[in-house]
Amino acid sequence: MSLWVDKHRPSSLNKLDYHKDQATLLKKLVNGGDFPHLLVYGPSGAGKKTRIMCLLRELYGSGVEKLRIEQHNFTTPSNKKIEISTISSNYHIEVNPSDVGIQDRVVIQELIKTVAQTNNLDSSQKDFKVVLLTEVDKLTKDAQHALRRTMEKYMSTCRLILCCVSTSKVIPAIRSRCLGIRVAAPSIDEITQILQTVCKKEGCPIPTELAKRVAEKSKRNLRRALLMAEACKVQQTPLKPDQEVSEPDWEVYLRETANMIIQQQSPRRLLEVRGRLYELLTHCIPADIIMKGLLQELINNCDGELKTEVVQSAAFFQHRLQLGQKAIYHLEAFVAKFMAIYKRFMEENIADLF
Amino acid sequence: MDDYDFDSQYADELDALQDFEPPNYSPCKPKRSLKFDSPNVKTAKDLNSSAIEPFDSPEKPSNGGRLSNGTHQRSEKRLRSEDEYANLSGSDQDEDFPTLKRQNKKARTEAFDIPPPPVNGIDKRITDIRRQYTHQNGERKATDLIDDYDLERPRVHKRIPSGDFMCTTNSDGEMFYIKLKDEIAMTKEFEDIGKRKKTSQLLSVSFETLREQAEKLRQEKLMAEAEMLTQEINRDLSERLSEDEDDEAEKAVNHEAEKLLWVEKFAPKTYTDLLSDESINRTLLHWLKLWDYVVFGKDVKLKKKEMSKKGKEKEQKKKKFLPEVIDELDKHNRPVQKIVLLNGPPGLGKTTLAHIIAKHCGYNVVEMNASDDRSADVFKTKLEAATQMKSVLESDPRPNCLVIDEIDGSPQAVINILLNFVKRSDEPGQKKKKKDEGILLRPIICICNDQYVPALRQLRMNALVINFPQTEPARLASRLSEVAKSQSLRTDLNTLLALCNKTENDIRSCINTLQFCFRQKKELTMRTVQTMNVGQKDSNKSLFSMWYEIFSLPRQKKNKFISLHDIQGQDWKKNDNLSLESRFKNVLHAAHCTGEYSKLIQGMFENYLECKFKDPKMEGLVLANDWLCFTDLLNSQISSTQNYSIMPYIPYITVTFHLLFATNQTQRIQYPHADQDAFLQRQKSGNLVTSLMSDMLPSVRMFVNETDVVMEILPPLLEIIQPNLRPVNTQLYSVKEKEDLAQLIRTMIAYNMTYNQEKTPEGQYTYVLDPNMEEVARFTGMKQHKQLTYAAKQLISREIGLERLRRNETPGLSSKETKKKLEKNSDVVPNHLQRLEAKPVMSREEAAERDFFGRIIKRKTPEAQRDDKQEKKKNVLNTDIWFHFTEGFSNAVRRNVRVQDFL
Repeated sequence: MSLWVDKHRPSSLNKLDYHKDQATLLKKLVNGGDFPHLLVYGPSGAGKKTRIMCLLRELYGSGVEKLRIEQHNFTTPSNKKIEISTISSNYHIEVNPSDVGIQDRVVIQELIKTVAQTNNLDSSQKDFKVVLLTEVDKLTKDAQHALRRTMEKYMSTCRLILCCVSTSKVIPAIRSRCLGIRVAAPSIDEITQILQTVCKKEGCPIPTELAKRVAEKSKRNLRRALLMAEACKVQQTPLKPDQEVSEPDWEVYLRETANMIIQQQSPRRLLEVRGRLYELLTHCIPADIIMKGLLQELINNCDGELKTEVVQSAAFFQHRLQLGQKAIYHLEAFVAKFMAIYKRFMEENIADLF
Repeated sequence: MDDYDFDSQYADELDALQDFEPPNYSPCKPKRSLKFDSPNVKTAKDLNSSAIEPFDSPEKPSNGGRLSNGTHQRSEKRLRSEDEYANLSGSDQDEDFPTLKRQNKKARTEAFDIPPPPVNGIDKRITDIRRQYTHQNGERKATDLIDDYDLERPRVHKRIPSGDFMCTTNSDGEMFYIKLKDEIAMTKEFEDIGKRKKTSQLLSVSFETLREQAEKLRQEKLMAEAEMLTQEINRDLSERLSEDEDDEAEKAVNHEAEKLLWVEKFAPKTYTDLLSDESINRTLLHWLKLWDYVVFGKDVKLKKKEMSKKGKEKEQKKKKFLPEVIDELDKHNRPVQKIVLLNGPPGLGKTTLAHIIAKHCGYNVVEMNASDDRSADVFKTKLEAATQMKSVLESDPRPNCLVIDEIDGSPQAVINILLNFVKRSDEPGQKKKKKDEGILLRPIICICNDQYVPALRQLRMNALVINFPQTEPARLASRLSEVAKSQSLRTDLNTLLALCNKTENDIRSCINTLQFCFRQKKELTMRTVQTMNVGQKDSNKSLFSMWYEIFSLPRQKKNKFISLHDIQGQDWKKNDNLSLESRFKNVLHAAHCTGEYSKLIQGMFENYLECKFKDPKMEGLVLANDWLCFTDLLNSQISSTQNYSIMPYIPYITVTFHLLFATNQTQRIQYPHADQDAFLQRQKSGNLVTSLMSDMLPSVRMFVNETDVVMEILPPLLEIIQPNLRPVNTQLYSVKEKEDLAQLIRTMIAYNMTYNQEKTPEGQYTYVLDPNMEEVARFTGMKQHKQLTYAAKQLISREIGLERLRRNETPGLSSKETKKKLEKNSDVVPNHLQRLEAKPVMSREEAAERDFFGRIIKRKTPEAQRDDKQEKKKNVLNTDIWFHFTEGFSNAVRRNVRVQDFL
């Protein structure tokens, strides 16, 4: 455990820093010795996994922290070999079925069946295992449907904990089978406080102003906040209130792209923007994040009248983006649309001036 | 009439019966013939009236009545043929017909006629005649049967019969007399039966005769029709052409050509008939003539040609596309280029040219084409047979000239065989070794449509490549008009030119179209050509030409072929390729031809912004992008649901782009790479992230996923792992610094990162992150991030290696313990780099294990072995001075040096 994020991660439900009510609820839930299937959802960096691990620890003791990575091989009905790695302890197994793309159904069926069908002989332990599925919102519909039957069938031997960012892509059938637990992002104040305690433990106290700035820049993402704070610490050891907080490259790049769009609206500029969009895509930044980031930056620079129209078109293209295959078309279409809207608006305004 | 005769007749009758009523036939019951009559009594009664007629001339009235609706001409003919027929069967008819039982027989023969097929023309005629014949025959034979073969006639007599006889007695003691027959006559009778049986047939008339008759009738009919046609046509033509053509010739032509394809019929027969470019013909001819010495033993007038070659060269400078025939002979007196490769699009007459020129030069053409078996073995035998043998049986033994048609479709192995064969004996030694394999002594002409097929690459280098140019439309059209005139197809030169244009001067296609039109109606007009689907090739457009077509406005194309009535009609707009309608159609059609939609669209996407179009409000851009998104949605729908029925909507995007962005300026179109590049790059980054994730510590891995890693963890992490390290020996670090370093090492191991040494292209060594996350997390053009120094990276790299070793050695070792050991263990850095570090003298603290007798146990684990090695190395390093020579290090050189030399 080296990074602050990992080093200072709370390991039991008692030690959680925020959402303490929820923590007690979870504790009560587990104290009964059993719990229903869970669907944990919330934004990235809010502490979903942390809570899940705390829950498991509460349930099984410290044994769950002995983790190992295993490779599993499956053969699809079409005779294609797929490989997926899982993280497991003696009591649970974590898998991200969306790693294998459209073959996730096979993983769900096979893996969960094998896990669920083996009974625990040791009577001292709980008679069920936990299967932790991450990124459930990225599962294909097929896989989700495969899941719903499995959830009921193997109820006696296994519990599922599903983890996702948003439930909108989880089919209602699954949502209704699970107890939903929403882990909201921590507030700025909470993050500031956590940053201060962590820094104190690390022996380099952080000024409140800096902590607050880091918290704001992290967009209420605790993981990011901690990493940024640590990066600050690496840059300059006694932390100063006016210290520069470095942002991720891609965010800066995206902002510059948005500025380029605002500065000039022409086919040539569109071409340049396309190059930058390609650059972002090749750096593994998901297309919807790019769209969202662009929109946020563009909105900031727009006149109030335009905002609704821009947001509407962004939503339109975002939807198409989800349906389509080639992200670049949809991103560029959005940029072109924005350019057209913005240009029209500017020309009208100039005409009004004279 | 005696018995013999009867029997022989009877045999015939049996056959006839078999023909008419097989199931009832049984040869041992000759009485059956009577039974046969009984069901037809009624019809016999009906036919009584006609039966009363005198039998001598039955045909004419009955047939005449039946065929009274036929034309006069025909009936005449028929009569003639009947006369002939009468002659044919005259010998049979010589015998008089007994009239006594005629009613019966008539009735029976009529029964055969019950299903008279409703046939016209020849068939009808044939059946008529047949009916007639069977009628006659049947009657005669039936008469014979009844008269001669008295079925109740006793064969065994109670009284003494006339002539020779034999007497015999039965069990009751009655005497009987059996008539004796002449033995010779008897045998003859039997033989006769056999003979008759052989020649007999199921039909009452022999098949040959029938066929002859049919053939005759058909010919006559054709003649008559042809005559009529010619008359008609002549009447038509005389109005327009006012030239009288020879009726006879016309007739003959029509007669023969009914089945023949015009392409074959009007194929050039001699060299002068050739339509292809004169220079091409000459080149090929020239080349073929070079073979004369080898093949015919004639002297090739080389010198003369070389003389003329100078003059030719001037010509050839004008026509640079023409290939040059090398006028040299090799040591076997063969031309240097032993193969000709004729290359050109289909339908220009390549095969025809090859055949005609070969014939012209006195060769016997042996053709091999794609329809033949083209496996390597078969090809080899054929090749050798064709080039090294000649036909002996034919009266005119000519040398062979091998024409390999459609060679671009043959497999590589075949072409290799051909090449080996051609090249053989170029080396002198080879010929002696393989005596059975002769050398190539006959010309080979290869024909292909696409000379750039990979399999042909070697062949192209060794062959004289002749590229076939397009046939001149004027020449083609004039030839077409000749054809049309000879077939009296009404047309004009403009129409033919339009046809040439449409078929892209494909001779075969033109003539086929002409014939097609001729069959339908005897006229070919401009309108037919334009509206016709025939003759248009389903051409395959290249992507680039398609992109150019999309992004440039069509040039005003003067259509010379518009005639007046076309303009009056509604179709005249089609000729105007500038109208919106035609642009729409043209682009769409071109897009259909191109096929590869995804490539096409990607090319459009990457090029449309370069166009100089006017779009002040950027509405066109939005529309174009809308279309792009739409096609993308279609594509994803197709690929996810396999619903290809929505595929036809895709090419319409080309029309949108054309109408939005087409300009008059030509512009450079670039092949779309960006998407592919981006895809590859994206994949690379993805793989980097995956490899990073795969070996992370489970405790870390547990809490992250790939997107989190890329977006949230990597950017700060890259800064965190680059702390300020004092460029001094780690020994001199303060406790805090040591702690920081240890922290760094642990972080990097937790996230599965290390530094690896790499050699830059400039020859310098650098340390780069492995996996190189900088590629993923850093963007070009952003502010430069602080980089660690080479030494620092080296230090980190070494420490990571050590730490990893230690962790592998003692799994579950707590971090504090490892930290203690950190300084004490030896390093694994390549030894040539070690001079950069000051070596602390280290001794192994590890307590050696001892056995019962106190001896040290040597552990043979790989780790221990490595330690041993390192120890040795260390000793060497500590005690000695290393010399650096070019790339390596050695301590094998010893010389005395003073310490001050190093200071």
